[in-house]
Amino acid sequence: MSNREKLKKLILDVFLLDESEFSFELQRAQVDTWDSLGVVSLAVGVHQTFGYHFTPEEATSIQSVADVIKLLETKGISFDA
Amino acid sequence: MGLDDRIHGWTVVTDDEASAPGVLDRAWDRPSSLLLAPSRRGVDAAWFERALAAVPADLREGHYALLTSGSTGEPKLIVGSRARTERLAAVIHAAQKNEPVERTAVLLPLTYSYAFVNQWVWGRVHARSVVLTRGAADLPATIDVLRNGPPSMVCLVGPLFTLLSQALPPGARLESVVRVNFAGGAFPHGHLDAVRAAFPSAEIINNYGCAEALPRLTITPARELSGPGDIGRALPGITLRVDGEGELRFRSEYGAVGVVESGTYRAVGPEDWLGTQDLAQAEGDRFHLVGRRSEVYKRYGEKISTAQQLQAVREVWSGQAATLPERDGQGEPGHVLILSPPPADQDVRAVLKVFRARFPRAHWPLRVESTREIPVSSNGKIDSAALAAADRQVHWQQPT
Repeated sequence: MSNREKLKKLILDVFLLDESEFSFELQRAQVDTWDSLGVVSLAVGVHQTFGYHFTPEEATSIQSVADVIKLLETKGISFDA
Repeated sequence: MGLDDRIHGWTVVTDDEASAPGVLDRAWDRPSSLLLAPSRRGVDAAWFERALAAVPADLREGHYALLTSGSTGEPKLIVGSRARTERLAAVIHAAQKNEPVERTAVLLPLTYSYAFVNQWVWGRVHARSVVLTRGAADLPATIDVLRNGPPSMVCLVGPLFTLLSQALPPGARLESVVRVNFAGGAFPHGHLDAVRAAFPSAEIINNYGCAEALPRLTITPARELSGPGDIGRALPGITLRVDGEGELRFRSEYGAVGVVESGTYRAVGPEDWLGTQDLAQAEGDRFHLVGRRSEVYKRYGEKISTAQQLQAVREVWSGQAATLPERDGQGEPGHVLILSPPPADQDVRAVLKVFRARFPRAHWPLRVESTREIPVSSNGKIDSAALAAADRQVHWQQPT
């Protein structure tokens, strides 16, 4: 499974989204379940899936799926299609 | 043990012995009080010896005692008055409109107060035949009893109905049954069509109570229930109220006169309000259950009711469902949802959709798992220890 597929599955599981609701352009504001506990759950999920632990500042600064990709890419995790 | 056995003046009969014709009647007819003891429940004669030693000597006549699981997990002995229980049997008869019922088929252990009072004592008081079956231990024989014979009454718990309906031959109906009582857990509100299909001639009745009530507090036909959790009104002679912590409490003219727990006897007086361990809301004189005290816990400051969640799950999942407590990776209390039989992907998605729509994240289970069969104990309730040890497959989990 590619990193993009892994991230998509993680986002679906963490926020209980249907596939049809997902896109790599998805914004936090579009997801009702992306609440404060969701931020924690996403951070834990990213650690379990990609091995990188967001700092609290990083976790709270994320406002979209694209932000997750951008941040992880700065840590050397590639999301090339 | 047998009819000639005594512990501190009490006649002792085990459920194995009670299955022989006439044994219980003879024991009930004696002046000495009766202890109806389960043959197998990890409680030995020495435990009963200590428990009955704690019961006041003036209760050694005209009373009876049943064993139940205590709130601490330790067994406890419930002491009742035969006269009071016989009066409750008459109240049950009227509330269930049992006049046309000619016999009752017992599917649960007789040591369970539900079966003992609703069926055996009722049958004795109203001169109806009591047929003992092996229940879930021999489903074909049990089904045979329920398919044939005179107008009958049965007392079920939800998981037992599931087993019964799974074992029912295609197209078969349990025509002889005219009263189906549910108690001992959540009323199967979401499966009423299946119950009606299996018992086409029966009035379906929600019975609510607890061991200390010996055992009834409310009796309501399913057609009068407004929705899940509705238990209707208190029976005549019983008063219900919800206390400041939301627990449903009762006073009953028919309930326990005393309880022995951890070797200590506690008398129950007419002014005492006994707790049911259920959380409820009052709406006028009707009461609605919102969960068991043990099913409600706090997670991230939110009050979580697993009973409410299971109710919601049952709207989209026709199989069985149960929860097990578990702490998450942060050490916060949480729970795991377990479905049976193993669900298809779309079933899991439907369940998750319910969580997303109805509950904040703190209420979501840590995982959704499945197992081939939800284990039940002899009284038909979910066996949590066996469920925790069962092989389970993970379908979804939230990172925590």
